[in-house]
Amino acid sequence: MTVHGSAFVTIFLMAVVTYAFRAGGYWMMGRVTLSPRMESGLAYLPGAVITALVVPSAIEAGFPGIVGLVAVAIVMRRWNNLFLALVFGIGAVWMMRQFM
Amino acid sequence: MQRCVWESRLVETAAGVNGMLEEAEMVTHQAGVTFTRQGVFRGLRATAPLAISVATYGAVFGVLAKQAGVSLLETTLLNLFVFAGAAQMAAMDQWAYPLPIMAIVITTLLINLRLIMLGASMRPWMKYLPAWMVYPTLHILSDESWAVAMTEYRNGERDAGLVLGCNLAIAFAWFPASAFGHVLGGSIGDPAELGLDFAFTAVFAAMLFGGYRSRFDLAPWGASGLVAWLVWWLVPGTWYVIAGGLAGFLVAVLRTDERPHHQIPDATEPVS
Repeated sequence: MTVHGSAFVTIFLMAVVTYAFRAGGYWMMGRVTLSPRMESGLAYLPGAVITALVVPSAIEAGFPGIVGLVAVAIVMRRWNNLFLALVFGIGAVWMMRQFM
Repeated sequence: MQRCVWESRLVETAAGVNGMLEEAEMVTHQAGVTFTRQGVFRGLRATAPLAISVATYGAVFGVLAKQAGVSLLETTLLNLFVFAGAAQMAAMDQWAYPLPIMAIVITTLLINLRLIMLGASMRPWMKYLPAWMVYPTLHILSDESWAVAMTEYRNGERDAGLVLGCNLAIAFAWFPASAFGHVLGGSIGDPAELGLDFAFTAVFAAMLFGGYRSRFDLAPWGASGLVAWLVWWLVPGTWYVIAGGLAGFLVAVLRTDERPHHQIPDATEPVS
């Protein structure tokens, strides 16, 4: 149970940077006045950010990753259940890796 | 003139997080947005399925920390003050004495840049709450809790208590799991062998497919995916998340005319 001095400094700086981003985006949006057009565009931002997170990580996982995505899509369409989608997605990737 | 009185109560949650939680009653003139105990519980419930996958990465992080020689106390400090899984994992990769402090901090900066977008997109919802409630909640904002909350927002949810509930669910999953992983140390094998490294992708893909509303989603999502893939391929760090998000946002803004207005979620619209 020890904390090294340099570890403490590192953790502190990581914390400052991270919180600055978390709070900064929110804070900044309050400083600018948004037109209705901008505000409605913002409604599409979360979906766009999620797409941006998913696409490269699926490509990185290669062919099993693509199969996993298809499994997730099918489960969500059928049952709309996140946990099942997770189980089937991970299961599909695991199975594909057994064969490859 | 529209007058909507909303009361807001920050209450102790079932798990008993005292301190930042205290009773608060608020009255405002803004439409629809509330902050209730029920909202907090709804958030906890809605995020519970994701908590399982977060606990998985949490355990993986704990194992990596132990293997990197990071003490349990240092791991706890990282969890409490940084609370950003991807950045913490990346830091474990670089953690060797003497610590490359600047390299670790710059990596953290690149990986966490995306949080700007998450916070920014919560503004239309959270702006009706006082700063002392919003800013502490933002500290435990995570990709998962944000995505659940924003999906609910799109479906008409306006109770900001839900955001706190979602954030807390992820925190409750992460803390014990990472401590467990740290104690377990090296006795866990390679998580990739079980396909667990795909958990992150699977969760976000599921939320994306579940959040699909109409063909108006396709253009921004397509632009985002394409740009994110290009930037991911060409630029180190997580700039691709920012680039993709911005591309999708621009497409959505630029084609405003053709979009039917009733499909636009807006916190100023009262929710029946």
